Amino acid sequence: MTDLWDSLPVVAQDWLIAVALVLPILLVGATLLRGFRPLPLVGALLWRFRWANLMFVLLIAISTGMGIGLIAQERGLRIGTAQAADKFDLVVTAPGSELTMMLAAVYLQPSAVPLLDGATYDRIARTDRVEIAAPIAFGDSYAGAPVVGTIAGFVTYLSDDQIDGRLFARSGEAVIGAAIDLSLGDRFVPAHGMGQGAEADAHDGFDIEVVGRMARTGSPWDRAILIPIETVWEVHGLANGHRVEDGDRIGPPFAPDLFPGTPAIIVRATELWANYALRSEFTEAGQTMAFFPGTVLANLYRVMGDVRQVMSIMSLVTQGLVAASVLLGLFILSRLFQRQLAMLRALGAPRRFIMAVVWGYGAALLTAGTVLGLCFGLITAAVLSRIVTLRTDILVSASLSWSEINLALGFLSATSLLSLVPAVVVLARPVVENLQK
Amino acid sequence: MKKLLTAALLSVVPFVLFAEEGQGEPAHAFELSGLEVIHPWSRATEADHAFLFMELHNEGTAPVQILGARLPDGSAGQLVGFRMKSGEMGFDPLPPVPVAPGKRLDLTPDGLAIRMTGLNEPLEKGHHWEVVLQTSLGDLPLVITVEAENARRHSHSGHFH
Repeated sequence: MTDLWDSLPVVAQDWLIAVALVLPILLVGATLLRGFRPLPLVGALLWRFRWANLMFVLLIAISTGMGIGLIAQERGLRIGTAQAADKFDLVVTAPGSELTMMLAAVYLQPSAVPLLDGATYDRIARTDRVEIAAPIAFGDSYAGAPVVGTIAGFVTYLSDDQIDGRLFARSGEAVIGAAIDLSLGDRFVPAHGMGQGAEADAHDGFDIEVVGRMARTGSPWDRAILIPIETVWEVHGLANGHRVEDGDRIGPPFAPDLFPGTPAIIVRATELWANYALRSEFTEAGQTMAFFPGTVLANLYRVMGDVRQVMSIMSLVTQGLVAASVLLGLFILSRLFQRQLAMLRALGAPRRFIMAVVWGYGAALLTAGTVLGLCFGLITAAVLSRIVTLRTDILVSASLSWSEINLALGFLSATSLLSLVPAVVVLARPVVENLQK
Repeated sequence: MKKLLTAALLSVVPFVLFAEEGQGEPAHAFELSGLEVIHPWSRATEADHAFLFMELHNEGTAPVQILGARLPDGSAGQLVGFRMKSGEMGFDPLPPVPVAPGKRLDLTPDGLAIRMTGLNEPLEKGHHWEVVLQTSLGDLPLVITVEAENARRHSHSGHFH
């Protein structure tokens, strides 16, 4: 049986779970409503107590929407951060915290880290099966955007060669990310440092011209300004990695003794499998550390996964509390119209018809609340995604998945079954007593 | 002739290093013609598949291809590479991976590994199981240590062997 289930496509599994969750409602509904037409009466009850009903529906919608929105947002953030790191197969840095180095090299959240020297870069760049070995240098900024030094080959790779304008071809030129508020031909002077402490006039005299703009990557590199790494070194009064006889040439190979250093080297291998061999090769105790950003993210997601489990449990507890409130609410609402129901019974309405009315009324409120809750969840996730994207430039697009839909259906199914209890209680009350109230 | 036979036997038949590690305690290092395998391990699992991790050192003079692994009953193990795609973790099958002379190759969680399928019994922490590593030099029988379900490394990782 397990093998059969595992052999099904994921979409089929999701559909089957959804059907299994909805089935109890359909069965109860079919059993109670068969042969009767209680819907006009249910509609009348909904309209008669519309404000109380509206509050009830909103209560369900908000509680369902909050849980669903947060779970969808967590998934969107996970996918967004992973996609932002897709282009970074292997990163080589000095030994230290992989997370710190990944935040610096991939998500452009630089911190003070040791540098790799020219000999190390040269060895990595010359290794068989290394297609790109891109040194990066950061620390400067312009209008809050990080100015990152690197090589042209990495810009081509990062942007999938989709550049409006052209690549930088000499020191003093820049390719900007898609979200940078500059135009081709604009010139700027980078500030030394980042944030409020940046020194705007520290690099006066070093005008940099914008010659290209990368297509959107959905990563923090959309808000970065990429310049030749030689420019970063020159701006800081360092050697530019080349001998005098090289003239104005930029990019690798660099002269190891004139290479001022780089905090990280982004490595792309010629073949997928080679990344694993290169990681072993570039990990040397006390010298270099090579890591896959995907692996660091996986460890991070495992921690986040624990948080997600806590969130899911909290969401389930909340749903349980809401289910209890729903049950209580239905008891209270059913008391609002118990006299009318007693009248129906006195007129000879079958007990199943009365049950169908009470249950149909509750199920209608629960269904409306759940559907509205899914909409609330989608809106919550969309708003949170937009805020995160604006603040981090990591493209986060949250959408509802089957897990959220099935969570909502599970809640609807359980509470709909619970709403049979008020229907039974209504029938248990003496007709005469209810008529006198 | 006797020496030749002995040399051939030593190069073809893998031998266990450091057998003095203790009575009943399997070795942690294995060798085949210059290819050293240190700390082969796996995680406890009740599933029908498991991942093998180990350190490989090529002390020889020619590249050695790591082809995969097999169980004594013939079940095959495939080299796989961990990948993160759109926030989902998974493994891609890989072709044979070479270990250059003087270099090492690490098979680690969330990196390169060998995926064994068709396991008939659960793997329990502290137990050992026999697996044959397939290389371009030939087959190398290994004794795999089963670590905890959530282990990230061999419990003797960092020890010198």
